[in-house]
Amino acid sequence: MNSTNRILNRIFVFLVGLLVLTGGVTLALVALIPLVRDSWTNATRVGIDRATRLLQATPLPESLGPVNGSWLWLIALAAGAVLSAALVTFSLRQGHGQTGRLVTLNEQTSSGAVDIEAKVAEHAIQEALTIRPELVAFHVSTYRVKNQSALKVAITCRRGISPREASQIVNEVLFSFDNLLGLQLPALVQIGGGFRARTTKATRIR
Amino acid sequence: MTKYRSTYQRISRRELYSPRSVAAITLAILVIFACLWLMIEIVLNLLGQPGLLAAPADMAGAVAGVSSEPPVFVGGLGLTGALIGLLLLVVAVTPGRRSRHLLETERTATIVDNEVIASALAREAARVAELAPDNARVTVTPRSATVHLTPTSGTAIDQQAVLTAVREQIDAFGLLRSLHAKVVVVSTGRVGG
Repeated sequence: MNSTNRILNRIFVFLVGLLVLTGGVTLALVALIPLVRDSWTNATRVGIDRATRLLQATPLPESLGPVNGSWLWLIALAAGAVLSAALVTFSLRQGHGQTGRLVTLNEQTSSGAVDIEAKVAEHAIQEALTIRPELVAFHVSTYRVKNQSALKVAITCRRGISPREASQIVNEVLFSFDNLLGLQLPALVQIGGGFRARTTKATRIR
Repeated sequence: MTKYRSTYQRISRRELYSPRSVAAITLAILVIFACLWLMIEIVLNLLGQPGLLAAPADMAGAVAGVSSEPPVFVGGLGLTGALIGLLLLVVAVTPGRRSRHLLETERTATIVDNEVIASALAREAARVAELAPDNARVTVTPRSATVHLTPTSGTAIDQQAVLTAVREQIDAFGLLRSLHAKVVVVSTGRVGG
């Protein structure tokens, strides 16, 4: 329900996998096939020679004191910094998408718009669920899906409760909330087991 | 489910399949650390200091020297790398279905952990077989539910009745992808079970 870019995740894992696979296969080929080993020795020698000459041909200005070497290293540093920053952003962007606003009404009129905060829905639904003994725990949150607020009601049932029963309990509450709000928002009900369900007794209700 | 069909489809799909966030973030952190290490080595090299682990020239030498290392060691390293790479490709490409099921409802998209389905079926099976709840164990996969019953020593279990009850329960749940029910009675009973 969050806004994690899943395609990007998969592309990233795929690229890293391809890189590691290529490296591994190359190493294995170098180790196992004499022909590849010889060409590897030649190719790396040529490559290192060329790189050394390139680095010597691009010196930093003398005025930099203790720093000496090629300015190509600075480009490498910059590239490394950019890559690290990109990956940090990539990691931190995962799992967002919650919103604090439920709906905005009467936006077009001159008399002023009405904002309803997500807390209204969250508190109302949670309040209505507290009286149900079938549920061990529940949490309501609001996400932005397809440019619209969607409610997520995550509940943990007592052991042995039928998921149909649990879903009906939440549906009743949601229908009453729809009446209260005057409109119907998309909602996800997530019925989970989890640690708290496992440790509670399978008590008989009714 | 009619009003927000496409929204519900999107939500259901995203809840049913893994986002692969754990793999992606773990790899990102590893790559970030590798980057930082290389950058530190470069800076130390520019300042004329000895490297932390290896100076850039040593690294290049090590890469070139791979061909003169013992083939068993290099080959082993290569194969390990190839396997890890292959595993990552599999992670990236496979759908990664979570152990959850969709429930048919009109108002919401409803998703149920397999664990919850299993515990509800176990309760029903234990009730019909007249066993203590702990003697019925259910495993739920994407397509089937298997009930393992441990009978009380010396008593028979009406397997057909349990199977019927379990099937009825599954039907009552209204899962979008129905489960094939199976009942297995363990051959060794338990005294006082």
